[in-house]
Amino acid sequence: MEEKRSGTAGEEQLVVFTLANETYGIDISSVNEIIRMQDITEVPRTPDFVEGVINLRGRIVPVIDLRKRFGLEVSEKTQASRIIVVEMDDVTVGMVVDSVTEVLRLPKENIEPTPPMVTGVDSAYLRGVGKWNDRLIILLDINKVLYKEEKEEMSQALEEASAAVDDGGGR
Amino acid sequence: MSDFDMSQYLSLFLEEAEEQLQLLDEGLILLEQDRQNRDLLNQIFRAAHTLKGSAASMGFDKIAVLTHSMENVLDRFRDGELEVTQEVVDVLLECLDALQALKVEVIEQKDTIDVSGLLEKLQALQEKESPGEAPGEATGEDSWVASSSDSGESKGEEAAAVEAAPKAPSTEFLNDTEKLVLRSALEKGYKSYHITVDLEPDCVMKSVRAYLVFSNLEKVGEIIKTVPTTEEIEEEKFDYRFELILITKEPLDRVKEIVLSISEIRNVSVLEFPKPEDLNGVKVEQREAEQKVKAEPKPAGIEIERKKKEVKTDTPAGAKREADKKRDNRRISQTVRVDVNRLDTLMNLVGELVIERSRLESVGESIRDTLGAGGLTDSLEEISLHIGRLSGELQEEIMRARMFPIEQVFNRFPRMVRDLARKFRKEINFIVEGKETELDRTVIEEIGDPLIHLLRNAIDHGIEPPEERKKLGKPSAGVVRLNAFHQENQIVITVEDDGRGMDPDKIKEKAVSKGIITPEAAEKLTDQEAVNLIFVPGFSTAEQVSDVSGRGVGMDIVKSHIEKINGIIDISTKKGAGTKFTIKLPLTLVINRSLLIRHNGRMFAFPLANVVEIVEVKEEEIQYMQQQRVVFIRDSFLPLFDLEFLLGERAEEDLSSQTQEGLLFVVVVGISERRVGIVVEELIGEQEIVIKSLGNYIGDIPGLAGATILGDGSVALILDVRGLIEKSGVEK
Repeated sequence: MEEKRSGTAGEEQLVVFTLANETYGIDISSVNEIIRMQDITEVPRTPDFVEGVINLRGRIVPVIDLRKRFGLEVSEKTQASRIIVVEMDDVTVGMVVDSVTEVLRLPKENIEPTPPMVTGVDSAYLRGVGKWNDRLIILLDINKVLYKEEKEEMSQALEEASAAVDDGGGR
Repeated sequence: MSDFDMSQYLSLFLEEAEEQLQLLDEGLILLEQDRQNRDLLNQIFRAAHTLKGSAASMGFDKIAVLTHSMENVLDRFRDGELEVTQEVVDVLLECLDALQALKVEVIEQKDTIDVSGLLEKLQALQEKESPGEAPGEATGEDSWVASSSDSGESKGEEAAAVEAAPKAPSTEFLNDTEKLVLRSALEKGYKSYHITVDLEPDCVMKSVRAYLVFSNLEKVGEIIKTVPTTEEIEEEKFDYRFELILITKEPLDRVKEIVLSISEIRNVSVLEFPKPEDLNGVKVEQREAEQKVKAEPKPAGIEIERKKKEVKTDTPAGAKREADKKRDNRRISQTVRVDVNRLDTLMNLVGELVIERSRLESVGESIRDTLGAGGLTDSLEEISLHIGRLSGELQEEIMRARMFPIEQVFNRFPRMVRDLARKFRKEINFIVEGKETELDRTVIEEIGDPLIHLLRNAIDHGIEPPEERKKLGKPSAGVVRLNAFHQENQIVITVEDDGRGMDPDKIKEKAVSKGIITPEAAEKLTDQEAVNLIFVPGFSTAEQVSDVSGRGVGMDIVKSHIEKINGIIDISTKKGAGTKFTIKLPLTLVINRSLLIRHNGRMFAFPLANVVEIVEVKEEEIQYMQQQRVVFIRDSFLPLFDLEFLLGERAEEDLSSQTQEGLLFVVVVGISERRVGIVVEELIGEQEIVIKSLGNYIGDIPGLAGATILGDGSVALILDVRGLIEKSGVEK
């Protein structure tokens, strides 16, 4: 999906952060602000990657844990942990990341489509890989990060279920 | 000059149309019952006329034509040529429906509705009884189209007058710049006209008419000045006459034609400015010329004056109407229409102010604790108190601004009741009271459907057919009464009928046959409990649901609708004597008094409306029935639940109770007859909270009604007691 990106024609401006020792970038135009960790009120009956809600200056904002979202190993929050508040289509969501490192401008020619098996993260969440001073920056597609529905998880579950049924039938 | 905003007039028109349609609707239904009431008939006629006028001026021809035909029929009522019968009223009501649809069409800017069928019906009514008479007057040249006919005549007269005495208008009221503009235009060969327009004295929406004059003229030239100013005209601050200066290349007659093409213009006079050379220092001559004009036997200006006087003084009725209109205008200028979203935002802001206020209070408390009373601490508390009072008042005022009279909902019912009564062949005396009762917009939006359902039920099932009623010694017309009033901090709405009432035994029987309840359980029910069974999902059934009272909605939906807006509904019924539904609603849905509790490190808020009581239970008092903790309180067993279980966070009840020195706090919550006890760790207290949604990303979660921000900035989840009780599985 091609949406309008920030920066001048030839480059993209990214917020760069780390997650489980990998470097990620998201388009700065979808980022509202970056805040320190704060108390998160857990909300029952939500997917496990939804940490809960916070009070963002009088607004109730849901927070998701990106590690959990990507199925990475869950770790303790540290002093460096941050919540990146993104806004997409009237929905404001906070994303917990290990740390936010910088904001940089990445020339477009440095961006390549996602090679298979570049990271532990499902490539469906990605929109490419950027090269910056010998570093790899994994570019996230925020829309998919937020919305890549449980649909797929469900269809996966269904597949497994039907596989189980098939197994049962074979016996 | 062309700063008029047409959309502004559109909304004005729609508002007015809505008002007139409502008047027509009410009026026709009353007229049907009170057929000889001339005042009422006049009122209806006026409403139709007004609607027609404004539709015509906005160019909504179908509405105009339809209302015009309706007017003709109404006129025949007035002249006694046509009798008010149900059939005629039916047709007229059908027209109202069509008008409503046309109004929607206007909003959606479509053109799909065909009114010719209705027009034929109206035509038939017009010709009824006295066939030969109608065509000339009613169908040929329509009288309302001809309402501009006298201006047509005067057009002729005036044109003659103009030819007879070419007049020079005065430039006195122009300022220097305008004179300059005028002169340079004239030098370039343009023509300039001084145009005086008089509107029909009974013209509604004068400013729209003026707007049309301006916009039509601006197609052919440029308006350099108006008297009064455009702003004043826009605000209707003028008295049926306005003047303007137009620079154009069109000839005088054409300009006049353009103005007269707009309806409800009584008269127009157009004077041409002389050539520039004459403009120079010839003021005196011009004046003379002007006087000459006035002395002319039939000049337009004087003609107008006279006509105006006629209207103003000779007919006191007209004068009164004008006075009424003036009052209306004043009222309009004193109200401001505000987008509801703005009010919502305002409400949210005030909500945050209230939160900050409580923070201030808690900071004040800790300062007192550390620094002790006196001096600054006292001032701080005083300020906090004052801010508290101010924010409270602010909140109340904004809440009031969001309030609407329930009239909005009630007004559509008389028509519905009439139609239903006819459909079911019942005679209904429909009484509406407390229309002026005000309640929050959010509540108003939700309350319509349940009320429709209750009214339909009352007519369909409640009221007996007339013959049956007579046999029972009741008056043949059944009474259905709808009432609304304030009671403490609640709105109470009642729907009452004097029909056959409900039979608890029959309800039990039916509930048993539906498998809703076992025969043994049914045995034990009190009559009231039995009646409440109608709210159980699955009770309202196909056999009971006629196409009307059905709509696929059972009483359980009515109930859940009302509970959704934190309301409660009760029935009282007496077999053979009637049924009364009482609905109690909160004044607002935004702010809520709540009981705050802490549980497992999280804060929760119970809406106080659902909290029955708080009890302390000793551990040894807890008993187990089929793995269910219960406690015996006041002669009945109360099931106890774990909050985590009810919220779906734990699959099983945690039977090891959270005790504090052998004591458990139990919040007893209830929805109508259903009661459950919820074990909580710590009670914090009562507080007013602002309800905020959890947002689209998280969506609706069973058992939660939203979240709120507490005085210390932390977030508490607001519990939805209804959802919790459902999860508990407790039926009653």
